[in-house]
Amino acid sequence: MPDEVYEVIALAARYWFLFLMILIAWRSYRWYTRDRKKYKKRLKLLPDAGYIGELVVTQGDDTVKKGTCLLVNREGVLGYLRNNDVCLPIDGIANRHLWYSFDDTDGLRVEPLRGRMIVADGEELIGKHKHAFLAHGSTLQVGQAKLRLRMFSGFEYAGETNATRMPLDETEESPIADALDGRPHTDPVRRMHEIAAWQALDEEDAEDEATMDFPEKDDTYGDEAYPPEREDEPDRQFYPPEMDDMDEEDEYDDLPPADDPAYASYEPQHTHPVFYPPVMDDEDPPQPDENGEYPPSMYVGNDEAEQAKRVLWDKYLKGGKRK
Amino acid sequence: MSRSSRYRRSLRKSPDRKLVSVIMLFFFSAFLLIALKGELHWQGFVLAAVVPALIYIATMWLPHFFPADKLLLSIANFLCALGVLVLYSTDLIKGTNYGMQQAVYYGVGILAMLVCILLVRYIRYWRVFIYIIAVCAAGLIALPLAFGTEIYGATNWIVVGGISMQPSEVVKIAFLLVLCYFMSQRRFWPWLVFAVLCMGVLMLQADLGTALIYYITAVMLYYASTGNLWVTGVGLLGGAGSAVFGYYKFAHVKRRIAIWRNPWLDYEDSGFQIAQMLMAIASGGLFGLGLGLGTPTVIPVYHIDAIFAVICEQFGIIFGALILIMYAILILRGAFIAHNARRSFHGLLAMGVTIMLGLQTFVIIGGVLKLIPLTGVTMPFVSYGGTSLVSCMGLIGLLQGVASVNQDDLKYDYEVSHNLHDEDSLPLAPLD
Repeated sequence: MPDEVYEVIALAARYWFLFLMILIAWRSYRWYTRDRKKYKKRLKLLPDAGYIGELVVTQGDDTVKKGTCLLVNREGVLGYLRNNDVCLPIDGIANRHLWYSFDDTDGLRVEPLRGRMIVADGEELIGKHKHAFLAHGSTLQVGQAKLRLRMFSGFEYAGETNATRMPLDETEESPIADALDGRPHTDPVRRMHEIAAWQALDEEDAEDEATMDFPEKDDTYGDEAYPPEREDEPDRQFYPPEMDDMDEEDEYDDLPPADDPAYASYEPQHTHPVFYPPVMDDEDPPQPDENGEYPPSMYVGNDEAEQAKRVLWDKYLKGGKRK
Repeated sequence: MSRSSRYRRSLRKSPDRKLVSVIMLFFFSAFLLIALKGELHWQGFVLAAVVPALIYIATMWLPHFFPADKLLLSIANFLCALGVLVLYSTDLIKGTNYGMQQAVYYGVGILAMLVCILLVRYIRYWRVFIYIIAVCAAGLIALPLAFGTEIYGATNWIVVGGISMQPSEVVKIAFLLVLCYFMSQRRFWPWLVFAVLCMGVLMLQADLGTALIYYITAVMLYYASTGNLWVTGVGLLGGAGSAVFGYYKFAHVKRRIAIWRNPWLDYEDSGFQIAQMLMAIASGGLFGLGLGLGTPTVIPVYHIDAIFAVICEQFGIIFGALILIMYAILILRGAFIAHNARRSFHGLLAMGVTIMLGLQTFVIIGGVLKLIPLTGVTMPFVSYGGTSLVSCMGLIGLLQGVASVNQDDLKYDYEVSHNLHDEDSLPLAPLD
């Protein structure tokens, strides 16, 4: 292409490239901002995301009261200051007291920082490079605070000792081998699946036991009714409880005429004065007696305050509607 | 509307497709245009097909194999391809072959990125690897002291079988891995020893720009890890004190500062590069002189130090500003990934990569714009140089690996919280 023609095209193409560049920058920016919002929304739906459990305060003070739950992430520092991952402003706790990190197999590793002391499951640890592993339910004492670790779902089996674990059976002959086939091999999730499989198996067994006396209807019983009737017992019919309340000869089904003296016995007997709401007093306002006092109201009580209200009501509203 | 057509429509609307399609269109049209300059250049047509294809493979195809941050991939690939384009356009002016070489390095860079992603994603226990990496890195960075070649004033190059490489660029990856590992394990002394060793060797090689980047990265990582403002402040003050000491002690540092303050004092000699860069940016104006036009090759070391000036001359200042925005988005994205990491090692690694790339960008673009004294570092992803490009793509691989692990973690949380135990829906196990 001749240089002159190329130059004209290149000069024109500048605007095309600039337009595309603006589009690229704008779309990148939009993508970035939208992605951030989407991520935040997603995290709102997963309040436990990023946390492996919580430390429940079993002994605290006025600042951090007993029962307070402190979220624990995978790694971080526990200390007095607010910029720590777990802030515990209680006496005896240093600004940065201990460092913790979560391990899928061993549980939550806690290590006091230089010169600090902690008590983990009764074991006293002082200084750097001394560490202990906490499992679900482990206790931790830091300064004046006593804490108990509660792992979240999916992590609660990390750090369990072998003695407390359910039998790990992965052989082909195992009744849960099929259920575990293809499952992920992370310990906590693995344990979760194992327990779920064992529970499912137990439920199946329980179901089998429950239905043992009532096997499926088959040819064994021939044309007989199922379950087989017992000759020594009379036929029993089931009535729902509400039907038992009413007999066949219920007298309410056939009321006597109104002029029959027996009808009075069917009339509702009011043992208490009838309550009339205030609007009904319009037609028959209470009248003062010879002493100028009003009779006790049926619906406001007889105490003085209520009486005063009644007087005011009748005086200013004439016992009638509000104007 | 049928389900398949809705699916196709949603795919068209997805941000990754929208962005990558524009990027591919940009480079296809740009390479096609430059291939028509003068005689028809078959290399230009090849690049018009290959570069968009590489972009598509790296951004749309690779994420099929693991969760990936496609925005990060898109931006990194865009910048790499821009480097190839600008270098190829200057090749046609000067008759060099930087563009095609850079395209090859770009392909190698994608492989390096892939390796780094897999490293971060699948290595669970770094303890053994880190010591091996540390020893190898220390040996590699010290090699130029024995077998080094001086290029552009720094003895930080080694030539093996006709291929020259810059060990300090490769060691960046190892530097971050080692530092982040030791800081995540709260082991200060190995961290300090390795950092001081690397920076000392760089100072001996007179590679001041890279040493500066290493130093500030190490200090910032220390702050990110410990939150100790006092020690970080002391570290930064120490760095500033060293700079002042260097200014009074070394003549070439003093000269560089003088050139930075007024390049026109020695325009014919030492100030020539800065003056030419400023003139190139000014002559480009807002919209540039046009792709393949202008005289960017007049600038000394235009393909490495002054590549941003070349971009501004050909595409204009507005385009240059948009490039800076792309870098800013890349850095913000890196910080976002670091912030969302669940493990301190991953978080520090992502933050280290972000700091290093951000610093490098600031140092070189600030130098080109006469904001700070010019030092000889490369503009990430864009400048010519195989080692630099491969190293930058490796850094992006580290970042991408962390992003990938983050996505796995989030998916894991979702599965656990919703009690989903289906075989197909369970995610990969979270990494240690």
